[in-house]
Amino acid sequence: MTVPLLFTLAQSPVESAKDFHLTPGGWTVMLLSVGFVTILLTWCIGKVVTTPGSEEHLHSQSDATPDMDEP
Amino acid sequence: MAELTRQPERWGTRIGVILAVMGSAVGLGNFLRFPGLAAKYEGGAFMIPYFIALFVLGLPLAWGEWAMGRYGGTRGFNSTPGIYRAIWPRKISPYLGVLGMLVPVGIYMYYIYIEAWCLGYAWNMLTGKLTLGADWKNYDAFFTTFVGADKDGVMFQGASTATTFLLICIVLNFVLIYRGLTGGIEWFCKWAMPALVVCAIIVLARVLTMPGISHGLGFMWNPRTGDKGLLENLANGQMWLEATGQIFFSLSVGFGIIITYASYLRPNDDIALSSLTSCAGNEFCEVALGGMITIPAAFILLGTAAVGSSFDLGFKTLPMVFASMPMGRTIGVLFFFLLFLAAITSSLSMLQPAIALLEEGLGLNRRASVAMLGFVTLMGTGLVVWFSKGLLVLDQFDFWVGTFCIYLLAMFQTILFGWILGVDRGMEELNRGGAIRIPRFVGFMLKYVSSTYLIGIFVIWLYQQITAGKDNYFKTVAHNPAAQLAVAFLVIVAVFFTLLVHQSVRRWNRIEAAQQEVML
Repeated sequence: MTVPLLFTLAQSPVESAKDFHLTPGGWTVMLLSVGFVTILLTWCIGKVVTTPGSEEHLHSQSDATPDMDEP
Repeated sequence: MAELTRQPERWGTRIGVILAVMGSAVGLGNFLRFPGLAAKYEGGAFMIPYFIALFVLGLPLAWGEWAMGRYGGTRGFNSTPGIYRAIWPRKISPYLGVLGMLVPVGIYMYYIYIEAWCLGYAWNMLTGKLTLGADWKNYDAFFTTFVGADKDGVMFQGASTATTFLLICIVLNFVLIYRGLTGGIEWFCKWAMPALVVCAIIVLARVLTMPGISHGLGFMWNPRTGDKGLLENLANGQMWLEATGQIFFSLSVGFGIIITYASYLRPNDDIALSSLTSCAGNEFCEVALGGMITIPAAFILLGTAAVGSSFDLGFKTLPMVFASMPMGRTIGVLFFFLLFLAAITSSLSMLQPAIALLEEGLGLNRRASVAMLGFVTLMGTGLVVWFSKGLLVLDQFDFWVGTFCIYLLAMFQTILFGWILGVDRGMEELNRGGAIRIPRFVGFMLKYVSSTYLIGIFVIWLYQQITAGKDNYFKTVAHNPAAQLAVAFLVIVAVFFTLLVHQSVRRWNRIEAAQQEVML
């Protein structure tokens, strides 16, 4: 199939697709799901970068042995 | 202890470890499997068991694994046998850690081949070889030829492009692993994960501006697309099983990877927030990016036929969709490149658990560890690539190691946290140095609810597999020589790891005895 014909195909959804318009229920589920994970990630990243010690080089390769930190 | 014989390796930054764990979790399943499942089970209805599974099973398991990993790490162990031994000082415990290496290494053996497909498809998109018109059969034929699915041994005959991309992926993985935790894995994930998200956002922007996208989104997200209502859909037990399985596999819990990664943290580093952030990043990639891209785009062109297996969706349907849209070639390159980034950040993490054992258990240096692991994985990958007809060995590896053994490992780790380490010690470990405080009920949920939930799912899944009429893996192994060879190879690898663990335990005992003598 040539490119112009493919382009036309992409412009017009197939017949069966017309039965699946996004409903208010679909909008709700989509916004709740996408919104929740986006807000959660944003909050987590915000918390990580504002908590001291997130960006500095915390350790070095020749650090002390872990036993030193044990009680 | 083991740490006295070597210098401890550590993560460089908190962001680095978060991105590394996120990179391990984000894989092809986020962009191909999740959207396919959600669309199959009426989108909106699927999200209810999906989020319940996230909070009841996924997050508690991830927190538990991070806590156990750091607990073992502070006692000088980075490998699962060593960490299990530190938590549960019994003779058998390190041997149960064999699963913690068999799972990631076994998955790596076939996952690296799929990773090569992604890179190969990005290249073929770029060079225009994947502009094959509007006939799905052309894309099916391309895939079959590209992966050698029509004949065994065909990938080793002549110059196969997939084999070339496979070699590139293998070299890249082992160079990064050789560079170490901070110089290799962390460095790579720190630019690969943001690049993946940028690629996905560009692809998403194009998909959301496609004509008729409302229908695609409706097919993906509407809670009621057929004759059934939401409540009727929620009564589908299979949907609950698959939603739980998706959360479980997507977060990479029970793979033996998070526990190893967390062991490289210091005793007072935050793990509560880091774990939550990496899980949130994985969910963002899965729901907000994967859920909005793949099925909506495929549905516009193919209608309800868009829902198929992950391989069909990713490597046959989507190239056809990209070929049909304006700017499709560029978007296709970006999409397959982001799949490649998702795959390589996962495959890298699969090598680290075994490297950890070779280094701390046998006292090998990085070069020797990488060489030994490279040899073992090369044999497994060679088997997968040689028996490429119908992707039979790949499928067998995926079933036995990538599903069956993961369930076993996750169940053991849940019991280890809840019943052996204990809720008190486990929650103390989880909250020490934490930027957020995890409520105590999470420990009880992990001990009682998550473990019961996981065992229940495993029993139902096992029953379904054993009684399945078609695609019965137990029957396939009984009758198919290639499947028998695949399982035999996995058994040999398990025996090999058992011997390594045995040798490691002897070494650890020797070092501990010497230390006690010095103290006396």
